[in-house]
Amino acid sequence: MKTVIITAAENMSDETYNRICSGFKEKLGEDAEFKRITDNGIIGGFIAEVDGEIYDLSISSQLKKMQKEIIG
Amino acid sequence: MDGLVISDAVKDLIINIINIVILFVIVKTLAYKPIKKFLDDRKAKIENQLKEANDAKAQADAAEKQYSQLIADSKAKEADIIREAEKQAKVNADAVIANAKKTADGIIEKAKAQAKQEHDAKLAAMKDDITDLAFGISSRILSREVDSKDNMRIADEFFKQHTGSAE
Repeated sequence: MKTVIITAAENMSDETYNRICSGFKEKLGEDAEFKRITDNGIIGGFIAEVDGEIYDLSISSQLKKMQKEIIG
Repeated sequence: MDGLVISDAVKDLIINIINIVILFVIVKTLAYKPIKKFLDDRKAKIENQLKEANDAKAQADAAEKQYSQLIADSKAKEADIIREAEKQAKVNADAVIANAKKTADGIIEKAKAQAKQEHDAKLAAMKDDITDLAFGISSRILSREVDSKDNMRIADEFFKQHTGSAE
């Protein structure tokens, strides 16, 4: 069984967390073990790690991308 | 007959006349010729000396003329040398000035490039500071503003792209 680590800020509701878990189950096509890590540094959204593959949907990474584009 | 009576005075006169003639002959023979010779020789000597003096004067005049010509020639050469030296000095001075100008231009260009580099670096640093500040402020604002609806929307969008499902 695969392990999915979800990193999210405190402001993520359980409903949203469950939505993410069911979404990954569907994507993987199998059941998986889920772990939740709270990190307010990501501000919002989530980061999912599945078998070494990272899905970064955090707001902090979006902001950093914008900062890099501005600085050049 | 009585002879001619000549008085003593006349006798004396005749004797004197004869003496004078004899004296004249003696002087002419013994003194006049040598003296004349002496005087002629002296005259010749003097004339010779005068000639030598004139020759010497002519030589001195020629030497003076030659000397004057040499002086004039050396002055002309001196003027040429001075002119040439002035010309060369000007050429050298122009070269020094051109070189100094080139060096100064190089220094100015280098200083300008350095100033621009420093200005660009400061601008980049300022940009970094401003974006860091903006990022910090944005993070704090978003931390307050992002709610569960936003998180749900992010999750839905992700899974719509990856699985085609959205709730």
